[in-house]
Parts: sequence; C-alpha cells; structure tokens
Amino acid sequence: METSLFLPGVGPYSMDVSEKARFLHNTLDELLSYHTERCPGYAKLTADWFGRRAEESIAIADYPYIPVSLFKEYELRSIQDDLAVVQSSSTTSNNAAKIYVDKESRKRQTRSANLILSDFIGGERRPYLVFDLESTVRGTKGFSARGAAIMALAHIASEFFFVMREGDNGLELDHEALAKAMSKIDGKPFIAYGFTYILYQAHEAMSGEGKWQAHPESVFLHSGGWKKLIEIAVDKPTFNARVAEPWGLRSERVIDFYGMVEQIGVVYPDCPEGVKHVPYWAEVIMRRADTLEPADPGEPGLIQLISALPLAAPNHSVLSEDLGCIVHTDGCPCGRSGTAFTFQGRAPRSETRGCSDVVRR
Amino acid sequence: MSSVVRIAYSPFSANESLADVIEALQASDSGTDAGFDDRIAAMDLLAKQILAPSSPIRKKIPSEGLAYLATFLQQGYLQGLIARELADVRSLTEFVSVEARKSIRHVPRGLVCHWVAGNVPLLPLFSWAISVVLGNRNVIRLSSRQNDVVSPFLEVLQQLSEAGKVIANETVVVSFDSDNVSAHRLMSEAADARIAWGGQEAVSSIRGLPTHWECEDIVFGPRVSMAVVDPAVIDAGGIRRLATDVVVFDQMACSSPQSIFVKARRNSKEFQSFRDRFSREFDTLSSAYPRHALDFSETYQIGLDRARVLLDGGEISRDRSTSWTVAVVDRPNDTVQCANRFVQLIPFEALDEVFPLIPRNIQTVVSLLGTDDLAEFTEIAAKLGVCRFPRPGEGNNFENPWDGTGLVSRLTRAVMRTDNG
Repeated sequence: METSLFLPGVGPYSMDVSEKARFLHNTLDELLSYHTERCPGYAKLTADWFGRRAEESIAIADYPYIPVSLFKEYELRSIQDDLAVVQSSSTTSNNAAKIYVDKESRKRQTRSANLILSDFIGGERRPYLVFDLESTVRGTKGFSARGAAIMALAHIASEFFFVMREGDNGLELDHEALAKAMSKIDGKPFIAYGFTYILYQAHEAMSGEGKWQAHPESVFLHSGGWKKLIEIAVDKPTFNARVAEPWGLRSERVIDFYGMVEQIGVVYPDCPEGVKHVPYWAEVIMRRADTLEPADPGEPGLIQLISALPLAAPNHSVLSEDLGCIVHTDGCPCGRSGTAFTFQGRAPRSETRGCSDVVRR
Repeated sequence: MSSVVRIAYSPFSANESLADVIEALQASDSGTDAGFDDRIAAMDLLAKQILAPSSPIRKKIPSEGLAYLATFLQQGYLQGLIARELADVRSLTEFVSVEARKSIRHVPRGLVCHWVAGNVPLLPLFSWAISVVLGNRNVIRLSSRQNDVVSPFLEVLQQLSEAGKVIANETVVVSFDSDNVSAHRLMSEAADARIAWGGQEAVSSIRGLPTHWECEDIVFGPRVSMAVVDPAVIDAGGIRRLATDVVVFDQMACSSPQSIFVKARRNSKEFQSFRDRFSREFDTLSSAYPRHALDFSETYQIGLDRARVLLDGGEISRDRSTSWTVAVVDRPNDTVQCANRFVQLIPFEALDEVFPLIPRNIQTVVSLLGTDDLAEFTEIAAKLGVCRFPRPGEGNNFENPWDGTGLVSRLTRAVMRTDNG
C-alpha cells in the first residue's frame, strides 16, 4: 500500500469534505486493486463492477461495496497466512460474520481507535474497567465482536479490571471484583466499557448498593444493539442516567459509540451535539431504499461504511443493514469537520409477501 | 395493532358490528333472487364497465391486472372456467340427469369467507367472482394495510342490473388487523367455506381458527413458480410475454416465475441470445410497469443476492440501479430471494436435468417447448406437484382449478336425486 494512512499532525476530524475525498480516492483506488488481486471472491464482485464502470472519474460513493451479510456466508480474505478471525456476536441469527485480521491491519486498527478516542476523551492512559469476562478477550486466533470492542480501547488502558463473572443465568456483576478495582483505582479518572445491554444489566444489579464516587473525568463507553433495551422501554436518556447515577457522574460522561465488527478500529462516539463523526481515513454514505443511490443529508438510508484500514479481507467498504442519517458535513458546532451522522437502528424486516413464497422447498 | 373492524362495504346499516353484519348476511334470502345465468350476465356487464374508458373503476383501481380481470369476468370465459368441473352447468340451475334415473344438482355452499393476501391487489375479485356466480354469500376480509379494491366494483355492479344488485347485496367487505383474533373467529365460525390466501403463517393461523365441522377449507398457500422454455421455439413476442409474467406483481404472486430453465448450453449462441433478448425486454417492461417502492430490507436483499450469484460463479445482467436483475446460474441458487424483478436463468440440455430441480411447493411452470418435449415434461412434472403449465403471458392469469383445487366443487354442495322411472 502506497498511501500513508495516518498523516502526521493531521487530526482525525480536521479535513474538510473535499480534502478528504481526494485523500480517500487514492486510498480506495489502492485498496480496490490490492483486494482484487488477492481475494478471488472479491475479484468476482469487482469484475462485475469494472464491467459496468463508466469511463469518467468516479465519486467516493461509486466505489464497490460488499453487503455485510456476505461475511457470514463466504470466506473472504486477501491474506492466507497468519490471520486472526473476529466473529460477530450474532445475537439475532445463527450465523456469525467472520472477519479476518492480519498483524498490519490490527496495528492500523489500534492506531485508528487511539486517534479517534483521544480526540474525544484524551490520550492519557487510565485504569480500564471492563464490564465483561476476561475470557472474552483471551485467545490468539480469534475474538468475538465483544472481545474486539473491548480491545479497541486497550491502548488507553493502564490496567484492566474485568468486573463480570459467569453466573447461573449468564453474565452477572462480580461485586467483589468491582470493589477491588475501585479500591485500586483510588479516585483516579478511569475509562469503563461494556456492551450496551451488559452494562445496563450490571447497573441494574448495582441498584440499592452504596454509590461509588468516580473522578468527574471518568467516562463510560458502550456499544452494541438497543433491541433488548427498547423491549423493556429503556431509551438513551434513561440509560445514560441509570449508568451515570451510581458513580456521581454527569450523564454526558456516558458515551454511546457505533461500530461494526466488519470495521473494527473505526469507532463512532457521539459528540456533545449527539452526532457521530467520521475520521478522514473513513467515510459513511447513506443509501436510499429502492435504488441504493446515495441519500441526501437529512434523508435516512442504509449505512455504508468505508474504512481504509483492512488489508486481510475486503471489508474496507461494506453495506450494513443499519439505518442512519447524515446530519451535516463540515458544520458541527463541536468543531469536527467531515460527515456527521446519527445511527437509527436496524432496518426493519420486510412484511411477508402473501401467497408467493421466497423459499423453494 | 387495533381491534377496530372497518366495514368497507355492506348492504346493511353502516353502524352495525361485524357480528351483526354476518348475521344479517346469513339470514338474507340470497341465492334465490338471481339464477346462475343472471349472475353470469351481471358479471359480463361488469367486465364491459371495467373496459369502458369512462368507468369510475378505472379511476380508483390500479391498472395492473385490470384488463385480465375484465377478460375473466366475461360471460364465455367465466362460464368456461366453471364448466371445467361440471358435466353440465345446468346443474347449477336445476337437477340434470347424469345416468339412468339419477340426477344431480349443485347448490350454493352458503357463506364463503375470504382471507385475502395483499400481494396481488385484484386477487380477492377472482375467488369472489366464482363464489358469487355459484350463488354464495361472501365476506371478504382485507388486511388493514391493504387498499380496498373490492368496494368500487360492488358500487358499480349494483347499478348494472337486478342480478348485479343481488350479488352486491350478498357481499360484505371488511378490514381489520391480523392480530384481531375475535374478528377472525367471528368470520371463521360463521363460514360454510373458508378461502385463505397467503404465506405459511397466515394460512396456518386461519386454518387454526375454530369453525363448524363441515366447513370447506380452500387454502391458496405459499408456492413458487418457474418457467421452462426452448429458445428454438420461443419468438420475440413469447420472450416479451415471459418477461411480463415476471415483471407484473413484482414477483409477489405465487404464479410469478422466479427461475427460467432454458434449453441450451450455457455458452452457446442460443443461450446468450436468449439471455440478451430477455434482459432487453425485462429492462423495457421494468420501466413500463412501475414497481412498488422497495423498503430498506428489500433493497438490501437485491444487493446481497446479486453478490451471492457472482460469488457462486454466476453472471449478472442488471440495470444501473436495482430495477431488475437477470442472473445466469448453473442450478437455482436457493439462498437467493427471487423477488422484485430478480430472475435466475438456468441452462439445461435434457429435461431430466430439470425434474430434480422442481421444488415441492411448486405451483406454475410457464412452458414453451417443442411438442414432444412439452408432452414429456408436463406428464412427469405434473406428478411432481406442478399445478399449471400456461404459456408465456398467461402465467398470472387466475383460472379454475387453481393450486390443483377445483373451486366449483368446493363452493357448492352436490345433491343427488333418484328420478321416477
């Protein structure tokens, strides 16, 4: 790969849209050739794309993308050896996506996550309270999506504290481990992370206990689906208050971030304005229903995620089944440039089709 | 979800409940005011009204399928569909002799309740038309998500003739949510025949509703369809008609072909030529017949299925957007949902290659083959479950019998009489 991915002295959100498009054009051209040469499956997809490609110069939105579900069904990889695999959590289906990661991609992911999170919560290392099991991040050949999300924050951890344990009914808060961790943290600012629903469950288990006094610069990050929380009528303000309250923190210190197992390393935390920003080595495009054409700002669409990081598999441009909406480009009061968007949940399943069947039995 | 029942069309007071309307319909002295011939004639008048340029129906109802409905309702056509099941259609009017001293008479079954799927807008009119000409009273339940395409026909029909008025007065159109169990039960418990159109879940839940023991069930459940053609036999018009069969109803009808078996080698000139000509027609017709606006999930599915075909070694012809896709594959790709104008072309050299690929839930095979091939194919494929072998352009034409079931015998009671010697 020719293009230098992380530019010295350039903040992740400091490029305006046109400057970023120039940068991404070069990067995507290189990734297109790179993965086409190395991944036979991807080559089949791009052969079709090249066959239909107009001669004129193309926009970022014109580059090919892969529907994420394909990673559940096909082994798509551009490097054959020395790979780790990350599997999606697959809470709603039997299939898990398998995303291959090599050493170089992992380095890029770490650097990317570091730059992004530093921009939001500072770059100094802090104690890291993990609302999960230590075993979730163990193993050399693969991770679950939860494990990958935990490790995305590892670079800013001075020390790990895992505070959940396996109980009779699944994960439960390990009160003893939490007490020990808080004693060791000793009033210093810390960072905490948990999958959204796990974090909520843990804080439900803390209700009625005495409060822990967290340093006001401590921050709780969480990611993952809201489906189970919506089912029990917990919305984002309720969630934030529920998590912040036992620690004496303001609810702004609870930050939701969006990310996909197919694009580890690029995370999208909410800024103080409640929107998500895209660093210059990534892009987000919303695609309209019916046509898959790029949607205008303010118009909901399927989220297409572009990331310049992946080298082991052609997951650098994927079409998700999530819905989002571009809020603006280059205009966020928080000062960050580039595309800003909101995440609006999973696209609803289509209604049944009537007397025709889609399944040939 | 709501427990509201909307009475969209009723000859009774507009303020009555579903229970009251059903009771009034059962108590009405129907089936006697107009005989079979009068009823057939009333339908013929309705057919003419549909085709009239000034018809109010044309302003209210989407045009897709309207021309065929008009054909279907014409006297000769409708009578012909009914006659397919009867030795003598006069048995719908009087006892007719079937053998020495034995006569048969077909009388209406009674109250026929229709649960209609929303995939093909005019669907309810077909089973209703056969039911009413046989003299039955009818309750048609539309989903609350469906537009009412039935009432505009009834409003016109009741003004056309006395028999038209009788038929309209024997019909009630209601709509309510799918989870309104009490409304479903009311219909089901009152029904002498239940006609259920829909997917697996819909038809299973309707069949599970309580009803009386002699109630007749007619289930038009989830089925798939395909086509088998010989490029040496099909001409340009046939290809256009075949493409029409795929395009109309956005492949949401059980009769819509999802795959087309083409008698030619994959790399042969004949196959390539067929693929190119079919793709051109598909493209033209996709523009001519607007598709329903796909939701996000359906849109994603098209992108996903195109990629699946390519990764599995197939080829794709497609437009620049998502309007249509022609996938060339060596055998049907069962992970691909052939919907919303996504069709698979499968080359074959001998009919024996096709038979194992006919799914169990098959309904229609649109067929255009040489005479010998057609005879061999239909004989074997019929035993494998195929219900119809129409020619291109006839794929979505509702007919009787449908799904292998004769409607006339199910919507009438056959009464035997021993005559005087």
